Amino acid sequence: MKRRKFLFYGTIGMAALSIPMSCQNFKDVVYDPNLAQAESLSMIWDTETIIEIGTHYRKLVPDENRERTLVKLLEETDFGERIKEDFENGQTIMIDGWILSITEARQCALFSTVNHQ
Amino acid sequence: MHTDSRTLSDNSIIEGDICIIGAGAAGICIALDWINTPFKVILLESGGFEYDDEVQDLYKGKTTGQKYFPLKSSRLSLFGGTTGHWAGMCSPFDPIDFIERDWVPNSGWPISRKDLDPFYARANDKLKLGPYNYTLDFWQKEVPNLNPFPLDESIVWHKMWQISPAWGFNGGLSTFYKEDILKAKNISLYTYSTVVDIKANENVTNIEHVLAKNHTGKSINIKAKHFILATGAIQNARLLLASNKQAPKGLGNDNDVVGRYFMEHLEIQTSELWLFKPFLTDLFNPFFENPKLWCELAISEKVQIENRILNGTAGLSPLSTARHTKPRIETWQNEDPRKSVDNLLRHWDEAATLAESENHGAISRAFEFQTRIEQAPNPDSRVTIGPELDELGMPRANLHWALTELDKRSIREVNQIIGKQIGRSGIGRVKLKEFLQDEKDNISWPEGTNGGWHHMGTTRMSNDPNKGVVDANCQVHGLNNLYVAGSGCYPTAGAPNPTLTLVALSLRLSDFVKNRIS
Repeated sequence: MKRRKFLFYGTIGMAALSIPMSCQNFKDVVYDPNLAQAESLSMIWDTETIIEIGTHYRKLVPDENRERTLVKLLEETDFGERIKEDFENGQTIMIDGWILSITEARQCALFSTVNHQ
Repeated sequence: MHTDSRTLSDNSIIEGDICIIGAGAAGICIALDWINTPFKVILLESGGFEYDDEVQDLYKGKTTGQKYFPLKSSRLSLFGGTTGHWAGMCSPFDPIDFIERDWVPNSGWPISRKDLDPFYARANDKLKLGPYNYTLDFWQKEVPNLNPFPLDESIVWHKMWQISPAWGFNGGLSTFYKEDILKAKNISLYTYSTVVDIKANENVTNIEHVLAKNHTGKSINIKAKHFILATGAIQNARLLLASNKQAPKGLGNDNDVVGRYFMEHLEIQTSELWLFKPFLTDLFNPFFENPKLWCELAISEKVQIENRILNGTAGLSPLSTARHTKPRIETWQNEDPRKSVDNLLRHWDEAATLAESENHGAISRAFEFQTRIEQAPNPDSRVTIGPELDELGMPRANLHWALTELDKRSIREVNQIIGKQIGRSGIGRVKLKEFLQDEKDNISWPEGTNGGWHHMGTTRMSNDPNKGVVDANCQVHGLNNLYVAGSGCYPTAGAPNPTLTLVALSLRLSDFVKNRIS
C-alpha cells in the first residue's frame, strides 16, 4: 500500500477507533444526582423496586431510554410541584399496576440507567 | 301472636287482610308498620326462630357461570331472615343510581332518590340506626378524629355508612323485634310455613290464596286481600316461576322477566394504597374496631358520567392482614351456613395473627382497597327453576351469574381514578392488582371475585311490563293484589349494601298497600 493511502486509511482507521471513544465521553452525562431520586417513592419502595419500575418505564417509552434524554426532561424541575401538576393534568402512567406521575417515573428510569440489576 | 304451623291440622285455612310472605328484613319491617292498625296481618315464615337444617335445605340449588356461594348458605331461612348473617352496613343509594344512564343498558328506576328519602328516614329508625344523615360533615361533629384524605371531593368523595346494631353478631332483627311481633294483637306469625304455590282467580288477575307446606307433610291455605312476597330476590323469583299452573311461564312472567337481571355487588380486592407517612384518622378504622360508622371512597356523579362507568366505592383494610386473607368466595363454600361462617371468621383470625409480626415499616402504612361496585343489569344473569324438586315438592332455584365488560372496565377505572387523586393529594400511591393491569382485558375475572351476598334485580321495577315485573309501587304487573318487597325490585344495584334501601322501599310499599286497603 502506498504511504499516502496508508496514512489516509490509517486516519480513517484511527477515526473509526476513536469515534466510539468519543461517544464514550458523551455517555458520561453530568447532572445533579438528585434528579434521579424519587424522594416520595423511596418512602415506600426499596432500591430494587425503583430500578424495576425505571426499567419498565424505559421499555414502555423507548424514546426516553437514554440517560441524556431523561436528564434533559428532568433538569430544572421543582419535583414537588411538577409531580402534583402531573396528577392534576393527567400526565400519569401505570407501571406494574402503580399509578405514577410521569415525572417520578422518569426519575426511576434515570436511576435505573446507572443502577442496573 | 305466634303459631307453629306444624301443629295445625292438614289443609287448615287462615284468613287475614294482608299476607306477608317472609319474615326477613322486608317482611318484619312491613309487619311492624301495620301494628296497631285495624287490619289483620298474616306473617308467614318458612323456618322457625332457630336454625333448622331441614328447612335451610329447601334453599339448595345449582349455580353456573361466574363462581358463586352455595345457594343454601347464601341466605338464612328463619325468623329475621338473612339479618342473622348481616354485617349491618347501611348507606343510601346515590341520586345517580336512580336515573337512566345511556352507558348502562336497562338502567333507570321509575322513582327517584327524592321519592325514597322520607322512607329512608323511617328505615333508619327500623334498623336502629342513628340520625338519618350520611354526610361526613355531620359525623365529624359527632365523632372525633374523622379526618378524611385530602382529596378533591368533586372527583373522589368520602361516603359514609352507619352500622346497625341489629347485625348478625347481635342475632339480627329477630333480637330486636321478635317480642314486638309476638305481642302485636293484629299480627299473626306462622312459622314453618313455606309458601310453595300462589293461586290466582280464573282470569289470573287477582291472587285468591297461597299454599304453604312444611316437613310434617301438612298444607295450609292462606287467604288475604293483599299478598306481599318478601322472601328475598332468589326465592321471590322462584315462587313466581313455580306458580305456573295457571300461568305457564309463571305468575307475573308473561314477558319473561321474572328471575332475569340477577345482580350482585362485586366485592373484590382491587388495589393497594401505600401512604408515605402515617395519616392520623379514625375514619378508616378496621371494621370491628368501630362498629357504628364506616367510610369508603366514592366516585362523584360527574366523573361517573364523564367516564361512563358504574357506581362503586373502595373500602380500606390493613394490607398486612389483607395479604393473608383468602377471598370469601373461597372460604364460604360450605353448604351449611353455620360452617361457612365459622370458616370465614376462623380464617380472618388466622390472617390477623399472621399479620401481627409483619405490620412494621412501610407496610404498616399500607392498605388494601376492596371495591364494591354495582353490576350492570344483564338479562342473562338469572334465576330459573329446574326439574329437581325440594322436599316440599317445589322446583329448586338455579342461579346463572353472569358479568359484563362494563363491570370490569368500571372496576379498573374506579381504582385508576382513586389512584390519580391519591397521587395528586401527595399522601401516597396506589397499585392496581394484576387482574386490572391489562386495559384491553375486560372479560377475565380473578379467582377471588366475590359477591356480597346481595341478591337484587330478579323482579325489577319498571312502568313498562315488558321491562319489569313490578311497577313503580312494587305491584306485580297484571295482578291487582300481589306485590314484591325487597331488593329483587331494584332495576340497578347501586354502590352500597342493599338493606337500608330495601327496607325504605318496603315501607313505601307498605304505605301504598295501606292506602289501597283503606
